[in-house]
Amino acid sequence: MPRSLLNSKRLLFMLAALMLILSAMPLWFTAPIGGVGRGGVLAAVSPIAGMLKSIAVTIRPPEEDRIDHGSEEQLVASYEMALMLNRKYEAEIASKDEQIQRLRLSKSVLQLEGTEMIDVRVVGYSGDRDNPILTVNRGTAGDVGNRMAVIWETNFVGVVDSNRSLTADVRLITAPGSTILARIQPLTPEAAVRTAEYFLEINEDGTAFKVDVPSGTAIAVGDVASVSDSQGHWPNEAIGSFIGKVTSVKPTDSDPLRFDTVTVTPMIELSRLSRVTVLRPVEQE
Amino acid sequence: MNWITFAIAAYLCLTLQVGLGDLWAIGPAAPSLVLVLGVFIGLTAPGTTVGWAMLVLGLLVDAITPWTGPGQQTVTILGPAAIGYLVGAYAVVQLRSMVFRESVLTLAVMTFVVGIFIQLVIVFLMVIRGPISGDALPGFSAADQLVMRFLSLLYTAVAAVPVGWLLMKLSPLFGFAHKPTRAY
Repeated sequence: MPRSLLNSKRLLFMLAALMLILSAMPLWFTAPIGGVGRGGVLAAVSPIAGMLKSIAVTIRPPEEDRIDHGSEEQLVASYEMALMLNRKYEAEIASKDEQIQRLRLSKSVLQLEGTEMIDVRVVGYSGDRDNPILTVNRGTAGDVGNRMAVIWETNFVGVVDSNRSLTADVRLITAPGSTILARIQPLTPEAAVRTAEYFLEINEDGTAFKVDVPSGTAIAVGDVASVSDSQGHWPNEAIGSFIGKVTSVKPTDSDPLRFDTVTVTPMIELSRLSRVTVLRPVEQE
Repeated sequence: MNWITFAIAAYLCLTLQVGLGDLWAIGPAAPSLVLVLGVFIGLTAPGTTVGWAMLVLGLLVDAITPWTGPGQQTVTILGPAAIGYLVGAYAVVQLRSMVFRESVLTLAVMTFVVGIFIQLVIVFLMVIRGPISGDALPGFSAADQLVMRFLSLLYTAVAAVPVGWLLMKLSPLFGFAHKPTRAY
């Protein structure tokens, strides 16, 4: 009688070969097959295994990750440190929120069409009270010329006041006798269209701008002042950039019943800038 | 061999292993009752039967062994343990003639020895499947696997003493066919 080609041993070897091939296949092929197998086996054992598992969990609860907090003093110190960091981060978030609002407002006002922005590095600062200037590392050879507006982010820094080829001097807005026609408004783009304009005048020590406004004018601490009109005194590209923030609104010394003195302080330390942007008007063809 | 008894025993071993694995685990090591059952059958049943039984047990082990795939997904790969157990079947059939089979201690020692063959094959197959399939498992470390499996094997060998004793008591239910001894 002829022997069958398919006996138990051969079938076993064939299955072994199949398993070998299956184990060497990529996951996209073998994982679904394995998933079906796993699902089937677990479904079969789960009625009893689930019950045993719940008993096991009751007897031996899963270990939690224990964190060593140290002594009570260390715990208190950690807690205080966490509170301090929390306050710091909250302040940072508030500051960033304000920055976002300023950028939004600036975007709604700042006219950058037809303007080339040239990033330059500050290479010097002269703190001469009569003529405070920043020196930047580009001059006429680098397309930085006289009467160009200079900003940092959205803050108005000053105007280029030189015609040198390799470097340029930037006369700061806080120079003595500086006056700027500005809008003072809350940090909302919608407010930009309905605010009045004021002539801000730099104070004697060159740290803040002041303007007297009629009492009851809707100006509050925290409002921002932005360049509203050049009137030929400042470059047109500076319109919309920020001059500073209202830091006080007090009755005027000379006529306290009718006028308030509004103080606008620059939001940045102009003497400490390391990079600024020159706004170069591009000639339209 | 009575395959129904084998199926019930395999089911019970698998269920206990899945259900109580967390309870009796010591660190990463947990005993494998399925392996003890396989070696027990290997010591007693005919060669081909041992092969089939071990292949089935290996497939079951494959099915309950989760691997970490890409994106921390759990994947199941059928094959490595099945082949490993088949190699284990060959090993136990070759070695059983040299040992005294009716002892529980023999079962424990054989579980350890055969387990080494099985675990080496499994890890080897998992190592080579990366280059072959071009689809290596992320974070798979052969050294970590070998250490973890060796510890589990030690634990399994210890657990084989009581489990083996119980299996030996139940061995008549398995219906292993014994060759009739020649009467003189």
